[in-house]
Amino acid sequence: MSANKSDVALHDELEAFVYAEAELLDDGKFDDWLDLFADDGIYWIPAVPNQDDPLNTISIFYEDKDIMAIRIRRMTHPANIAQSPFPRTSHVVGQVRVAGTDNGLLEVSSRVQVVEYREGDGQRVFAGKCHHTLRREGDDLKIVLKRFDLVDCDAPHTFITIPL
Amino acid sequence: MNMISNDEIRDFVQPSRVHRRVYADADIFDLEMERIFERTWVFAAHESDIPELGDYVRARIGRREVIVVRADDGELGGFYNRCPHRGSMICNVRRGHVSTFDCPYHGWSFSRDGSLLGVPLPTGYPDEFNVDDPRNSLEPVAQIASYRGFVFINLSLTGPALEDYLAPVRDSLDNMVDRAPGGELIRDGGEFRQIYYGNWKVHVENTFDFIHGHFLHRSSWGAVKEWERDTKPGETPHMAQQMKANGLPLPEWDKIGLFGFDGGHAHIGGFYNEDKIAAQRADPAFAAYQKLLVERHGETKTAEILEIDRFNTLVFPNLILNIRFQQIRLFEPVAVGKTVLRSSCFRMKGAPEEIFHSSVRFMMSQNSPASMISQDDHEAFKNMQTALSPRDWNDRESDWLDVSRGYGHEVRHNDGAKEGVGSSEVGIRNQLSAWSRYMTGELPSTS
Repeated sequence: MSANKSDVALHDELEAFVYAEAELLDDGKFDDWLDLFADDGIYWIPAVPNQDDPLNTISIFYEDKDIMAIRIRRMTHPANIAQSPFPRTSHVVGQVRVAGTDNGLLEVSSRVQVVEYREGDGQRVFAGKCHHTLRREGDDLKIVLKRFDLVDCDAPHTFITIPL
Repeated sequence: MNMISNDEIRDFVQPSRVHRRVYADADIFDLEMERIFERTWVFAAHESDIPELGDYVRARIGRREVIVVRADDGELGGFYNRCPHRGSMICNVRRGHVSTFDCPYHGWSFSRDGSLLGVPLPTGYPDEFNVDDPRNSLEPVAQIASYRGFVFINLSLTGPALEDYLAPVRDSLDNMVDRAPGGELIRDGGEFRQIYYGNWKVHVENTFDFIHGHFLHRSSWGAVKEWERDTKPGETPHMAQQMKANGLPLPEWDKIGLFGFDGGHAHIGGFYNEDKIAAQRADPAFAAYQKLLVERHGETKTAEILEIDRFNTLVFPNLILNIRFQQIRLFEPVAVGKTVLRSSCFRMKGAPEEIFHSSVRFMMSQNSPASMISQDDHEAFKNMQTALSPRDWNDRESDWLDVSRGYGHEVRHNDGAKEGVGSSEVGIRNQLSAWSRYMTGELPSTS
């Protein structure tokens, strides 16, 4: 192992970023969460294992910033019965690794478990491998892609209303 | 053993109201499996799922696990997924390819036409044990047939041939296939399976209940309209256009035609009129597609094909088609208050890639577990099931659900079809009437 100090600093910076991203979701700060995305950012949860094509294959989520903005409006809309009462989540993020630094993009992989509770529906678990592609824009890191591959992505699910 | 008489069942479905037991009584559910799902044609697979000899897919017909296989003669085979030896399922993955069906439990081996090829240590069996005895084969389903690639199974020998069964809505299936410039559909893109905690019938009925969209999906279409107002976007994304379409002003829904047919089938007109989701889209991919269709069918027939705009077609009891976006939804009953909704779409042979992409997007918008549309419905069905389920089946006024919207205003056509406006509940009444006839043995007709 020859990790020099700058590798460690980069790892720590990116690890802190993915922790903070998950924390915004758990805190229900969805507008702040959306601000983490670059203008061309994509949020992706495939519906098929090892999926490589979001156009020819279905995804549970494949949303650009416009759709995410609409989703957030709907999530907080007073007429939304699918989110009344609003679900609560708790993310645990682990095994954070810097997976690449090519072409000005920072690739971060991690393992994530999300517990979601909604009154009337009880508690359920989402788990899988998460992949963040990040870009530096000025002083900020922005998400170009957040991809979350659920271990049960192709299983029958009851509805999922919030980003995970 | 059921204790529910035909007279009681007949009484549950009245011309403009229905008793809550129809949706909430587990004994009724068991009878439905026997008298509807095991006596009618039920969608099982698409021929494109099993193109090669030995390809198979599993399906569930009512309570039964079956296998649909492309047998050695290229014909379709249908078998109960159950080894005649100790009753284990022969196939435990959802699809695959076999040269022989080998039971994983004790190794009985069957040909692709279901006959027993051999057993291990055959000398251990008594002399009268005969490999060629049909009782030792995989049990074939009573009937399997395909209509233009759509494969249906009937677990009984009663009732009409598949083509006749489908007759009132055959033109929807025809239209779906005729839209393909290469004349074929290929199921592709993956399958969503959603669970909802409601009765299977409420979702089927909901697809012919257009007035709910304005209320139930208010946060969905409302979010899009507010986003458009605040951001003044250059264009509204496809998914958002689907969401927004449910916000049609109430009187507009009545401009949509709704037809219920003998046997419970139905179709209802389209309401996607805007931009990316309109019947005649203004994008180059659609123009290229239209040109290919004209090459195959000529101008006149192409215009006729593209003119048909039906948002939902029901093949009774549980298959819904969307012909313009090549979608199907299958409602698999699991228990009286639990249903699995399976949705998938088709690639039209010979059509530009982008046309298939819009089918994939349509399916995600409508049927992903994260769909900002269907999750409202599934929450409503769950709430409905909770409220309807207490097992004190008293005959109180509040035990009856109202389905009277548009009652008395249906137009009756010579072929038996009943036509109503988009906000009418004629489609629901028509399904319930067929349901009652199957449940009391009046259907399937034996003639």
